Amino acid sequence: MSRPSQLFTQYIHLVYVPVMSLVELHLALLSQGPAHGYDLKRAYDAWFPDAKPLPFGQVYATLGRLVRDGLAEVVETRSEGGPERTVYTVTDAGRQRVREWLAEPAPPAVSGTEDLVRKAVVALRTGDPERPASAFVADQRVAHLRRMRSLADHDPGADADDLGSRLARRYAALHLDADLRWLDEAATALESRPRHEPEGPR
Amino acid sequence: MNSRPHETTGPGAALTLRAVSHAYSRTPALREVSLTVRPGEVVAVTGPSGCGKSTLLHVAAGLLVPQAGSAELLGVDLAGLDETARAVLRRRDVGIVLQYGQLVPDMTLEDNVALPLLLEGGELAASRTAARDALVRVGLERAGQAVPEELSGGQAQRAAIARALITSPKVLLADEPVASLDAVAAQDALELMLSVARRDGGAVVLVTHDNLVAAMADREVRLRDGRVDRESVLR
Amino acid sequence: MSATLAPRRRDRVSRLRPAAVRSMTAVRSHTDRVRSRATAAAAAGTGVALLIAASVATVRDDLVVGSWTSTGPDGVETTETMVQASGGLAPFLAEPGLRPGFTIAAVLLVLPFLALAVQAVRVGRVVDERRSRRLLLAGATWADVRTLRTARTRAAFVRGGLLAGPLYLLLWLVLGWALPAGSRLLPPLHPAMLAAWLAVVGVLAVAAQVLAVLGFRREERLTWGGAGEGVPSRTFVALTALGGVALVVVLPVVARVERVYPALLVLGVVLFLLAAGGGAARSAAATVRRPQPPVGAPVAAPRSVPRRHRRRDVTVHLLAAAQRRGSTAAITGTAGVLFVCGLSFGVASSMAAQLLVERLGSPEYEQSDLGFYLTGFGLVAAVGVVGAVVAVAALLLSLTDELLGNRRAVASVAALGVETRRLVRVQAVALRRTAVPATVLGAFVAAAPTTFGLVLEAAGSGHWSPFIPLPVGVVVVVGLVATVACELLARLLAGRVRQAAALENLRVP
Repeated sequence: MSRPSQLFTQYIHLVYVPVMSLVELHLALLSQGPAHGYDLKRAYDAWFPDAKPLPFGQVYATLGRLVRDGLAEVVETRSEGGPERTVYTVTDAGRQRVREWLAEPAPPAVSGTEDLVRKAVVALRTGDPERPASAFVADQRVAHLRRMRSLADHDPGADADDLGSRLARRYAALHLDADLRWLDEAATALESRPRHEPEGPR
Repeated sequence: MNSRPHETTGPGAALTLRAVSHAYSRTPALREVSLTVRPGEVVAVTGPSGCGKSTLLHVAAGLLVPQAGSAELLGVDLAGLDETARAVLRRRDVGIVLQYGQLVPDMTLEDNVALPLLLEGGELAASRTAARDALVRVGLERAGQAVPEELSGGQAQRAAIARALITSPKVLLADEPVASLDAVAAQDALELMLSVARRDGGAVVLVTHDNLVAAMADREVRLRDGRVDRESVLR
Repeated sequence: MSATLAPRRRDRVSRLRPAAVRSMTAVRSHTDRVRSRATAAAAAGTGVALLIAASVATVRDDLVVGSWTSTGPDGVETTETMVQASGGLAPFLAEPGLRPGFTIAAVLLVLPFLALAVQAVRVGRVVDERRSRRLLLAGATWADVRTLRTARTRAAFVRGGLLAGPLYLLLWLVLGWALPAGSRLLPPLHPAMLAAWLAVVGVLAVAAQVLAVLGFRREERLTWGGAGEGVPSRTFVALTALGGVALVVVLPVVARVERVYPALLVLGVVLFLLAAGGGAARSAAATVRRPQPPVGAPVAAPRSVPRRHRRRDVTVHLLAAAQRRGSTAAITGTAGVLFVCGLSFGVASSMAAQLLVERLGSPEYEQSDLGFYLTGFGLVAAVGVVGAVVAVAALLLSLTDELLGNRRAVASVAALGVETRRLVRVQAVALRRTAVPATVLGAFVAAAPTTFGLVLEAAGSGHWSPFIPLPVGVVVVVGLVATVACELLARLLAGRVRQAAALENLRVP
């Protein structure tokens, strides 16, 4: 017997993981230094340990798209006895794309919070000197608070007795609150780090 | 993108802090904090514990005279008033709600709520009648003869709110007002306090570390290490 | 609350209406009741002592007991009539020359009652300070808080003053009317006593005002300053002690002060009281600065003592020291009064010893004479006993209050695994450490010079009287009685300790 929460998580994964922000994630991983597909997969799995492991096919398909769109380019092709390996690097356009992606807070939403986690982790790991991770955290906080405020700001007369809708709004507010608490922790962790040291894929 | 520095002064502002700094025996609690709250506005002051939130509230209430900077409450510079005058201003125009422990022990709820009126020289009977009405407003009509020790945390907090509201304050200052309450009681208590701004056009300052409380405000002022880290409009 | 309002004393009048003041000062809680009753009792005691002094001071000498005629150098013959008070008074009251001593004793009896009053007003201090803070938060001014406090104290004092009249009447029935003629200790009632009673009520009302304002000043500092209890400085202790010696011992040698000596004596005793109390409070407070061994650490104790006992001792003594530090004000008053009581025991015993050594067996002193003196010394000792009982009551009041006010701390200590039995021991140790040294020291200071003198004299004459060690014996007995009394009182407190240690006190207030 599976609990409703497990069902919910599975559902969320089915819907969101493949489509959202994989392009930007690959670019962010690449911005740590030139890497080949296997490096990227390993780095991704290390950055997001509790996400579903990234399939190889997905990595190479995405890298192909990045090169096609001019966001990444091939640096060299190595073949040292083993299978042939192509090393990629990020272009200026690719860096710009990551920057734009990070500048926009993740949609404060009850479901699909992976995007929030991804942006936060990327912001923390890549460390753009022009836009520190703390700024990302602060912007995200405001976006969340506004969403919570609008949830609380419903017309009190219209559905005051509608227990169902009140509980649904409460559910959303509490989940957004959980996100914010995590963000606060992230911000505190950022502050207590002695010096910002971006970590690249190995 | 979301931060918008507010003008540090304004005609008709309910509360204005200008470059307020204060330190407790060399530990700085507030550093050059400026803040304006207009009538009808709800402002949440948030930040990690020890960031100076409560000190800011004490300065705003005139309970604490800051070492530097100025605090203006309803157009009156608090530094220009002596302690008695500040107490009088507080009981006439300011409501204060703390997390817990502000009801006078061994005094009935009715008398506790009537206190601001009695201190102003009100007749005992008339003040008590007004207190009974205020208790009805917070749903405590049957607890008027109880003493604070006999109340639950939520009831005590509602009584404290009733007392803060009995003078129809122009400024309501609340320090973690619902931190000791369960979710439902917290929601009710918040609604009561927000009515000061939403219904009566007063200014409300909520000092809180609770995001759910902060999300009720029109504006969030986030403090960090005694400084204003960011000010954001939420509405 | 961490706010600090710098209290500026620009007094404005409280706007509270009398009805509101009455309602707000009404006795509601158990603590209120204890405070109001103890304050009224202390005021009543003060009132009775003052009434005794007044009645003795106003004794009218209307009984002619004889006359004597003398011829001066110029040949003029003068006749003096000797008069005494009527009413069958005891000799030391009937003779006008001996009366001031009795009056002084009555006035000195006011001291322990005042110490009790100071303590009684402070009952519920912890709760009271919280109450004041909350009133201020609700918009009360210092004037409001002061008004409430003064009203409360004055009501209790006036009640005590009114009670003093009937109490004096009772006392008179026992010590005056009921006693056989010739040994009555209180003069017959007369209409002037009614006026004296009213005057006492007035004096007490004023005293209440002073006490409330003084106590308030202290509270004002504590509420917002949070500096803890003030401890008298070393200079204060030294100056009061030296001042007392100067007034009582040095001044009579260098100047002619016979007329005002009774007043000097009272003043000197007050200074001794302050010095001893201040010293005791300093010693209680000093334990905080002395490095304490951590609980359970091996301490310098005899090897023969089992480890378990050593550890327990340290815990109990640490807790007792903490408790004494928490009530330095109570210790000042109690230790001071007990020191003076000790003095009275010492004085009485050494004078008795002197009398017995010198005059017993000498045929020129009649048995009745001896009885007269010994009764007098007994009376001095009795006044000392009354004073000591009142002083210990004040200390007990403070300790109970401390227990009640800090019940959360007591409960958490109990929750840590300190049994009630040991918490009761803490009370015993705290009581003993304050009461025994003060009393014994007082008795010793008064008894030592006489004993020393008697020993020197006996060594010279070779005649050793069995009464020479009497004062030293009294010092030992005083110490033993004080110790036993403290242990018994601690037993009495056991119920309170158990109440304070109850787990429900761990709840956040």
